[in-house]
Amino acid sequence: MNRERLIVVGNGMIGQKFLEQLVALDLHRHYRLTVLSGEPHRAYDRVHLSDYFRGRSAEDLALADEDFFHCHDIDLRLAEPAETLRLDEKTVITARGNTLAFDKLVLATGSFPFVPPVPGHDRSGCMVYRTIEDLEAIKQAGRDAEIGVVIGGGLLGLEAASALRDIGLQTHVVEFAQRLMAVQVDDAGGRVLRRKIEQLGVFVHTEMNTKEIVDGDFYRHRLNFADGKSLETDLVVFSAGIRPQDTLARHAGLTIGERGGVVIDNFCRSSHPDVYCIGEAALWQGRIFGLVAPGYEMARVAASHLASLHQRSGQDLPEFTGADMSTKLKLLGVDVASVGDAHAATPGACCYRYEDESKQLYKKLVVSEDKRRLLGAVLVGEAREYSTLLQVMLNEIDLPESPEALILPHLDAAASAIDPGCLPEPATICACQAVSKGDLQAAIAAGHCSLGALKTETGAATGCGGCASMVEKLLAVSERPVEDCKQEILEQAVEEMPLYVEDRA
Amino acid sequence: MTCTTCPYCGVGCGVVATTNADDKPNRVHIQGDENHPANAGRLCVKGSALAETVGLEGRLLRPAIRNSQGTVGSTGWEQALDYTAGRLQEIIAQHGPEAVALYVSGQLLTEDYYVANKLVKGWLGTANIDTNSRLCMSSAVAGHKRAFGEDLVPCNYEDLEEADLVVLVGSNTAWCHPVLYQRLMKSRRERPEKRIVVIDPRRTTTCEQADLHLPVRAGSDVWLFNGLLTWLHQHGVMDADFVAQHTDGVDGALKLAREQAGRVEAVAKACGVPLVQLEQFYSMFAATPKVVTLFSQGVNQSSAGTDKVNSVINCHLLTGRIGKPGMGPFSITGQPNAMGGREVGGLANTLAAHMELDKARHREAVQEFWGSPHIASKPGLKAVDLFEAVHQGRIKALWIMGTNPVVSMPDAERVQQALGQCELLVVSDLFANTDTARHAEVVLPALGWGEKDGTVTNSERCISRQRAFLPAPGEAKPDWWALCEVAKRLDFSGFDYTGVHEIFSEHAQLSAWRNSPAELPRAFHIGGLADLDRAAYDAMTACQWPLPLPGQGTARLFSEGRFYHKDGKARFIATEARSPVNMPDADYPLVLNTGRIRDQWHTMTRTGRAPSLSGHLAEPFVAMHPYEAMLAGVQDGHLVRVSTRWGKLVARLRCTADQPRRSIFVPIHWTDQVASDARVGALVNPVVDPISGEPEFKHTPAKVTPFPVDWQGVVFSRQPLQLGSAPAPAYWVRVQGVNYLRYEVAGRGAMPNPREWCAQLMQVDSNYDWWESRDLSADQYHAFVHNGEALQACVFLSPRADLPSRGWLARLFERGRLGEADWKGLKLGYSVDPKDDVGRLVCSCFSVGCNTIVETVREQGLSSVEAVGRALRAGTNCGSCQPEIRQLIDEARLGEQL
Repeated sequence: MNRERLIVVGNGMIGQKFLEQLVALDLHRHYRLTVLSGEPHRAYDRVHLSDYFRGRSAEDLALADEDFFHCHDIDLRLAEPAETLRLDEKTVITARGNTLAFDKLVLATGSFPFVPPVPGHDRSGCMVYRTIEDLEAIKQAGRDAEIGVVIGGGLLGLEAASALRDIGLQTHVVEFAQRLMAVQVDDAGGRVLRRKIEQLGVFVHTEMNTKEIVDGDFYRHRLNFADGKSLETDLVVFSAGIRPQDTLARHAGLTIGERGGVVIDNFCRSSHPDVYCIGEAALWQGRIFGLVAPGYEMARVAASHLASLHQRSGQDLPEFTGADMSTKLKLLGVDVASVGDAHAATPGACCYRYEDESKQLYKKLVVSEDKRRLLGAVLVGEAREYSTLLQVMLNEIDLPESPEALILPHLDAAASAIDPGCLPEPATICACQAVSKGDLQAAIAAGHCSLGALKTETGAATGCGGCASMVEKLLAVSERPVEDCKQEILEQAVEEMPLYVEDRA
Repeated sequence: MTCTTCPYCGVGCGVVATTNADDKPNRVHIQGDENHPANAGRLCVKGSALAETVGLEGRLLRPAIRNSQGTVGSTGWEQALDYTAGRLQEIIAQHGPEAVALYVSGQLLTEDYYVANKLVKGWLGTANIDTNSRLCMSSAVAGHKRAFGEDLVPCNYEDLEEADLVVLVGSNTAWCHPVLYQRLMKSRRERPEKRIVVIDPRRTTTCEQADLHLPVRAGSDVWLFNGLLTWLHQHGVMDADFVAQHTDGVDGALKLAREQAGRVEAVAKACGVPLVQLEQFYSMFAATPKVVTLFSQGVNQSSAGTDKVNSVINCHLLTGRIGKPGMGPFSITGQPNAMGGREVGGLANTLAAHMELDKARHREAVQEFWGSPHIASKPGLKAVDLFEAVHQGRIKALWIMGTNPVVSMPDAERVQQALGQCELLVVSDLFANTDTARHAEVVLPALGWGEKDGTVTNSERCISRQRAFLPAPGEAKPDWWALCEVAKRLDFSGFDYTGVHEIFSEHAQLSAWRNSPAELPRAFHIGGLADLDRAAYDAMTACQWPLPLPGQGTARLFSEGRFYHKDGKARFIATEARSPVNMPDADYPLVLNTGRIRDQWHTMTRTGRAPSLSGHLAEPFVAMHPYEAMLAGVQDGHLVRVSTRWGKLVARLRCTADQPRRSIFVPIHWTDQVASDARVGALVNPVVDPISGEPEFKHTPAKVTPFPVDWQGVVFSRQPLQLGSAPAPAYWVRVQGVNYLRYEVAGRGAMPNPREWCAQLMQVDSNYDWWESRDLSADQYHAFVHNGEALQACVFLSPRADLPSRGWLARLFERGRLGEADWKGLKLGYSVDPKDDVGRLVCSCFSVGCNTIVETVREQGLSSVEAVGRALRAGTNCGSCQPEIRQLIDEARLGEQL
């Protein structure tokens, strides 16, 4: 029997997740799988991209080895991007001129960095921060550079700043808005974040509108700002947001959102029934999801939908119903977390704030009008409460009488945070890998009694890592099976070895 | 109980030594002298460990002469002195006095220095006497002379406390002058508004507590201070009256400074610092009248060292911030008696008692005072030139006292060659086995600290007594005595002192000789000390010069605005900024910087013997930025080869972002006695400042490449290993422990047959037993030698770096009798009890390791250095490790949050 042909366009984190889901559902036996990727590397961990400057190689960052593709008979074509999509013929023409026919197509094309069209943005030494090639270019440019400027003080901008600092450059961040990470944190949180980052030796310039980039007097470039000020630098990294990579879909005539993005339904299908779109290129109900966890969710939904076409399943078909955009990060060594409605946009929402100027901590809770539900939170400087707060919010757990106890320092042990024991079994602990409390408990019962073992077994805490402390808490309150006793056996054996073994005659 | 002074850095702390009656291992007890003005009872870690360094092991106890077969045989003083004097006479007769030279040390006492200088300049009639102070602060001397007309340090330590802004330039004060740093920190705690700025390419421990760190490019200081001078002038921060009445040359200095450093942007570029921080520094300096600029080797050890010093002084002159409490440029020295050497004139380009070789009236005065047959009339050879002259055979006879130039000089391989071919090399030292002494034809046993008697001067012009409290070992004698005995054998008069106080008295008289405004006025005047008899000399307490009349010291110079150029004015010097002589290129892309570490001093001949000082940084290392390491393809913790055009060494790589890009740092301490290949002097370019002759130790183009090895090992042994009697490993370093020695080794090719190799190395007594284990699958070997109770030696070999914790093994060797768990651990190759592994040593004073600190911080939730001190005592004695403890607290608490 001729297998149906499935082409996946893009081999990023989401595309790879989709392949893993296909394999998990045994669909690789059903489809002849071809993966087209514009990048020369197999999918890698983009979340930890800045580790590339801390000595990790592209291979270290890779999410799958070659064997994965070989064993599952997946034709991975690196550095061969799809150039044209013909919906009428159901073919894809690649940049190498190959025409490939498909029965089903999945677009996992991701996004590209937005470079504002300021004059001079295309000067040599102006770069972006997205791929390993970008990082390699930055690394090479760093050889004889002294100053680096990142334009954009959002999440990725600060990641890029971290990378420039790692290679020993005098590092500046230029932000148009009046605070860093404007999406995730509020004004007060932004202030604390700024102070902390400045203490690490990164210069922060907010409310700066870059007008043009020209030759510098002392360094290669000069950024001229709208207010007349200027800043000289050797290299510029743009990190002014991302845009969905929808060119292929757009030219093929798929429905595209007003501001970009391939419109998808709850099954991640585009306007053509045989074409799916997942990840940052997809537009669901007018929203783009620029985080890993929602992308992984889309990958699961799309794979399940494909499976449903071939196998009857008793279960309900999963649908994509939006995603929580909560996030926890360590930027330049500073913990930042944003949960749910961080800006208290919900009508009637009420806030609790805690700020410690000496330790430079900022914590905010956003609760519902009746103070029974947690709506959101901002944590800067320390984010150990993140997973608890996230669980409380997602699982709609009743807040204690004094919700502020959740963010106040634990002056006495009694006021400690919500016990993971009180979470329901299906509660999601790891959003990236969709691992529930029940999954973890089962793994612990089966003898996986360390964070490392649980990571390997369930995948929990291997995405963004935000749930690691929650997993550890769960580990602490769970009953363990028989202790791992290999070490003890070895020690016992050695104890019985005699001290005198030499015959000195 | 004896009050004396510490023999290490230039702070010159007072020490109280108590000796126990019997000859126990802890025969000496050391504590800080509460009555000494420099330290008021404080001591740093090196000073606190002085008792561990006074043992007699390895000491040279009688003179020795090398015979024609090359072996050294002990002899008596008579014979050694006769031989030395005879050979000197021959060489002088044949080649003239310029063929003779002395190379002495900032660790000599003033009296030794005085006699050496008098002998060379007055009787031999040459000025070929130089000193290791040339390597340390001769640029400061030259700068002072140009600006003030005399080598004068205006400030004192209290000024550091009184200042509202202290600028530390090229000085890792926290490690190199710890007691001064503590005084500074204490005054800041009392006045939190006080500001501290550190100017240093490296982010050193000193920066931890600073308000601002300017990571300037190595060698760019003149740009920085020319920029400051211009900026101050542009912003009207200037004491016009002071400049008009008391200085000369402001216009020239300003003109040149403006040309090169007129725009802050240009200065920021030249110095490689962020513009914002540069302006911040300039504004702070401008706004703070009470400012002290303290500078050290980072300024001096440069081909532009003298200009750097003057560019600093210029800024103080422009603002009139000199000679008043809490203000002034402040040179701090690295040796205990660099200042004393300067006072007697023991440098090739000075005459004596702050009088100059190039001034006829000075020469006449000194010759008349000495009643000497000659007087040197032209400058002698400065250190680098001096050894070059030895190499070329122009200098035939060299007498080295109390210093180790084969380790400490630039291009030290060439120095080694020079000494190897020198006709007559005499070395006076405590030890016969230094890298230098092993080339000597005659070795003379000198007195060490605690045995010798005399005076030293510290960085604030404070003269203190160094007193003897231990008997002279064997036949060891004071250096001045040896010098006088040779002089007498050369039929020179004026060397028949009956005691050290007579030498001091003569020195004091010379300082007062014709020293009046009408004749030859000099600030250096200690006439008030000229009449001390033996008892008064012995009772002498610390005092600051000038001291023209008894009992009247001087805390601060220039308070009346009077300087020592002929017209009584200070000079602005127009300083033209220039790059270091050898710049990095494609082959040698990095800049090698050298310097001291916290717990060692100079070439480790003394500190290397103290177990408590060897744990902090046990191995020679090279610090490098992680990104540079990535570009060079070398890995943190691995052995690397560092090469320059002059030499190369092997050390362990420490990746740290505290090291700026395009540069590396290697400490100066390791010698051939304690490591296979780690003398950084061999790598340093023999480039000097044109005026001071001080070498450029902080800037040599270098490269770092991997040093691949096939196996690694660690050996602990009660006895020294016989490294000569077995195939020597490609890399080794010896670390002193408490009653044991630790060796880190690494080798190339197949691992030696471990049993045979160890037997050769250790020469184990047959009363001991071997226990050995070989893991064929992992290709590992480990063994230990014991008597059923305690360990004699142990060895661990592996193709990888997976060797057991050194802290744990050290504890096993420190323990008298081992317990069950210890034996078990030894057989396993790792500690069974995790508490037994205290980790890398952090607090040397109380032997507290990093694991202990981190665990305690976590368990007890500690958040301050003070709390750690209360719990573990760590950091409560000398305080040098406090910055590290602070870092560990941060790391431990960060770890908690993850």
